[in-house]
Amino acid sequence: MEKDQFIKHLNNAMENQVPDVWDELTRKIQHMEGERNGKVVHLKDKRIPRTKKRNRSKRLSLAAAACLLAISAFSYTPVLASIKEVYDKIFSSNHIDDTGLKTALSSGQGQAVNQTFYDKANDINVHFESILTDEKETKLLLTFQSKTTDLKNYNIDIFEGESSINLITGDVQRKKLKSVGWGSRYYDRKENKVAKALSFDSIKEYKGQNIRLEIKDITIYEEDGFGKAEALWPLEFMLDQSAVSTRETAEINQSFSYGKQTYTIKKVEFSSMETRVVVTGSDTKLLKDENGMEYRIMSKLEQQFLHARKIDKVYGYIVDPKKSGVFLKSAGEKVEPIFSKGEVAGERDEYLMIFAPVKDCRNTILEVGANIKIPLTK
Amino acid sequence: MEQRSLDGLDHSNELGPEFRQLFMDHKKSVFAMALSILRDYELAEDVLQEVYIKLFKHMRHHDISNVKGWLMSVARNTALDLYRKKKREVTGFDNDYFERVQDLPKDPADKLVLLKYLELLNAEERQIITLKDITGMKHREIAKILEIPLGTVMWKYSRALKKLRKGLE
Repeated sequence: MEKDQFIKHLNNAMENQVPDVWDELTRKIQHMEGERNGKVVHLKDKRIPRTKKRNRSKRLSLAAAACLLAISAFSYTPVLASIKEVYDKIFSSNHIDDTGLKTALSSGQGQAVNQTFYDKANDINVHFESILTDEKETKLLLTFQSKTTDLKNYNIDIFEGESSINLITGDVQRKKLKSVGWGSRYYDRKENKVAKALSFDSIKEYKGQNIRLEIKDITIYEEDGFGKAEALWPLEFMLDQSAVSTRETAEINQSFSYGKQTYTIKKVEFSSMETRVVVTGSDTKLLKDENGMEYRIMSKLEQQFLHARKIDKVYGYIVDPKKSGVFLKSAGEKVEPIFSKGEVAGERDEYLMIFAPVKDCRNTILEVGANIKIPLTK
Repeated sequence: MEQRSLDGLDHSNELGPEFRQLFMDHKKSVFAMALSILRDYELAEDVLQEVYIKLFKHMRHHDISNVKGWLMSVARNTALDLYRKKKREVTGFDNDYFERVQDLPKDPADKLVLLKYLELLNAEERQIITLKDITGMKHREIAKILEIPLGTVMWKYSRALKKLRKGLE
């Protein structure tokens, strides 16, 4: 095919595809103008939660065979032991795409809170399983189940959905906790049950105090956007030492080149839930366009980090063993990235790469592709 | 180079006919630029809307002498920013793309060329092809928008065409 021909075909294809967004655009601008002029115009947000819509089929289709087998297998043991073991299996199974959480659980980390709550309005039984926290993040593990409400599209989405989580301390201070990554979700279709590992700001500073966490509203994914079911799920407990772990930081300040860019590993944070490598580089800087808008590009290093990522229909975001990427090697063992934390933001100009916990923080190497190996030592 | 002033546009709730004309004139280029970076139909649609909202806001206070250049530059930066923010969605390109497109190209050759364009070219090559052959820009303007030397633009454009031609053989 000659150049003129394929350029013509490309133009036609592009012309054909351009979505008809004029009406939606004018609605948005009129809404924006209405607000600007003090007129409150409420238009339903028809924005589709793209990620969730697209990945929902993958993430919600984490069908339940393995989990169901696990539940059946333990049904004859004493009740509490059974529940504990079943939950442990859910959250440490491959259905939870957070290798850091699984490592922490398998090493016995976490405070069992073991509380149930019945949400009458939505007919949902909630079970709070356990909680883990360090200086940078908290994981709250819970399941919810219903006999009448179809939970297939229900999620506690505090990243981009309608849900939120608030912390209330003894002096009635209320604080909204921000998400750290996307968290992990697993839907057991046969049991109509959701297992959720919520991931949010650290609450370590409240160790030894009685605190209350409130999950507000359930996000419901719909075809043309997301809606919500109003809900308030409370959890009150004293945060004890078993929930808390400590993060160690090593200042590295070591530079390397990759993809014609220069990067500096500023520091590495080691915790029982993750290993966080903090990098700055010639293409990680915040840029500004002529409109004054600040933006970032995806750095060469980030592209390489994500190169090994695979979106698996059953297990979520996992490592593709056939592809190169960025990994750690610690005590001779490969340590995988945690892709569900791909959107955890660093400070200005920083890029964060988050991996599973390492066995030996004094013997850890960062491997970028096949050729670059940098010891993460001071 | 197009010289067009936005002065005199109607900024009331009723959008002016000139704004609509700008939308009609350049929507394909803006969408194509976003698509060249994101390779995702729905995200490119988001960028298309966002860019025109920015245009609407910007023209309240400023004249724009080169609307097309402004739009392409802002479309590129908006898409790059979204690409980074939405990284969980936009890595990799697969055949699901055509399942999400509202109106599929009717001509099989159109679809094939689009597929090869998205599949075979890297992001920079796609941007150059878009700016040159869809938007109709000169190499010099492209070099300015992409912030790369003129010679590099010409060389990469030529390489991208060869890749496409070979892929379509």
